Amino acid sequence: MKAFLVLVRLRLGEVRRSRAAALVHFGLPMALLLVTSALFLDGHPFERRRLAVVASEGLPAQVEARLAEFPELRVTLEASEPVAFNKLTAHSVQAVLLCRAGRCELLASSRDRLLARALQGLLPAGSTVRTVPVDGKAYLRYLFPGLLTWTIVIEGLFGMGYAMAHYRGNQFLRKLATTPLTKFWFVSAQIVARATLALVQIGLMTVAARLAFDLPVTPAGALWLAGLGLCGLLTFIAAGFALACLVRTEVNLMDTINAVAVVVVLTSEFFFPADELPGPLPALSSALPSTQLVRMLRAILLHGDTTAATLGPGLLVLTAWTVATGAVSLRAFRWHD
Amino acid sequence: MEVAVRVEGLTKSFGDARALDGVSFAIEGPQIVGILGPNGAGKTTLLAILEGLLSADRGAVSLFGQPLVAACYPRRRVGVVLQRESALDGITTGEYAELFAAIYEVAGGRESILNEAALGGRETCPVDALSGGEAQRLFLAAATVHQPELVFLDEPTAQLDPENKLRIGRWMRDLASWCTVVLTTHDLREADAICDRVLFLVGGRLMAQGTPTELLASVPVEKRSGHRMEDAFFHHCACQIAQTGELR
Repeated sequence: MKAFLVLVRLRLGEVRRSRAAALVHFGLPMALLLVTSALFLDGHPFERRRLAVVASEGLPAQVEARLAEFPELRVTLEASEPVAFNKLTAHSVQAVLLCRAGRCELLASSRDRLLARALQGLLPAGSTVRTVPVDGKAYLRYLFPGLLTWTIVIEGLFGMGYAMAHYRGNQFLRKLATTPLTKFWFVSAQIVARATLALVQIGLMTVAARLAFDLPVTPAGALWLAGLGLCGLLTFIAAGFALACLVRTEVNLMDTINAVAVVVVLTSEFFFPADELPGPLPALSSALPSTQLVRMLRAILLHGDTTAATLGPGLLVLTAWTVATGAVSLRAFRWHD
Repeated sequence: MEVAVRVEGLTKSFGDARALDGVSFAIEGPQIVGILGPNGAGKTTLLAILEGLLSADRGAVSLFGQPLVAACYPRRRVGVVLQRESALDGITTGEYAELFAAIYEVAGGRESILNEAALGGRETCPVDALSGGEAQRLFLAAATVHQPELVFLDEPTAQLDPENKLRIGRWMRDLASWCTVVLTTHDLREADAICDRVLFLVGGRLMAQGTPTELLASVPVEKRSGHRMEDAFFHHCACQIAQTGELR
């Protein structure tokens, strides 16, 4: 019984002895509460319905004014009808408004017929409404690019960052430092191994998604997916490497990666669109490489949109992160303490 | 004989603690040189500096006549076995041998390492599952597969049973026929048995150096107990040990 009490006291004492342990036990739950509160301050982003408008000659002023009366409706302009249609079937928007030659046609998801009825009342007389069949798996398809990105984030942060901290902790890096092996070849080997594993993971997930919920994957889409997956992986490998260089111990690195992962999951459009988040969060989210990767994967796989206007900003953000974290890694990397 | 290692006025501190204090010596090869001292004497710090893993605060080090510069350390001429060796998680003995043969670019190096370590039939055994003696033989064989001219061994026989100590001692003697071996140990009898030359390091200071016979010769006859290296060590280092604490 006495040993039991001593063990309990020692275990509780971890919180007093280690700042990291105190942070994990008390700081992280509070941080999670704060982050979640900040994210959902205005309700869940999916509460707001999304309408894509394709109007080459501009949206009729009367319609625009009526739509603007409803802040619970988010209206986005689309340049291409096929892309707008794909967004509808991918659950990225709930309705599409096509305006050409003074006439309007509303396409609504079969899962949002009530919204279609409401929107119809805002459109000019003579506007037609068409229901587009959207099955229950649409959200799974919407989710898929988020899951792919999550896999890439984990492969980069944990696969590279944690592995480096572990090798440093067990002195394997110190051992390698006594050999002629250069940092370049060591790091390159890690990247190639991780990239190979990640490509296999992405391939398996994509095949499973194609079979299980009819993910529309074309050969061109698969090539884009592989290319973007590798770009994203490079970014997160560099980020993981930078973290491993800056946070020296395995335990602290694990906690840091967990904290980063929670923020990434909640703010990177894995599960819901980030542009509906309150305050400066949409801008912050857009600056994250994970958000840009999800958006690009969604655009390629679900919306069939491979235009430079869509992919350019995302590739720019990924490149900037890779360069920045890569520079930190190169500067801070040590074989041993 | 070529001077493999030359150290002049080497000083290193960690915060307020001085690990090395003006250490100077030269090592010619091939031979076995033992750096002896109690825990905390500065042996591992000295070796880390010689291995290019740590920089000195003051002093100069040269290897093979060239000043030691971390960026162009002669890794292909040097082999190192650390005090605490490890491998990638789950890696097998064969894979470990293959990795180091590849790093040192030695054709047929994998088999050479396994043969040298007498682990020919255990290629598929994880390194973690090897006994202490087997693992140490593997690390030693891997660190010398490229036939280095200089080998640093940090307490290579610590925690080994007598049979493995003897075996590795014999292996080091063979190695020293063509290579300079610098090892740290606090096993005085082992040092007496295998070292050609010995350095006594206590509290970061070099207290004495010479062949075991030379060191013993300086001990007054009445102070000798019959254990050559113990007698020499305590004669040369007793005052310093008393100042720095108990010999562990």
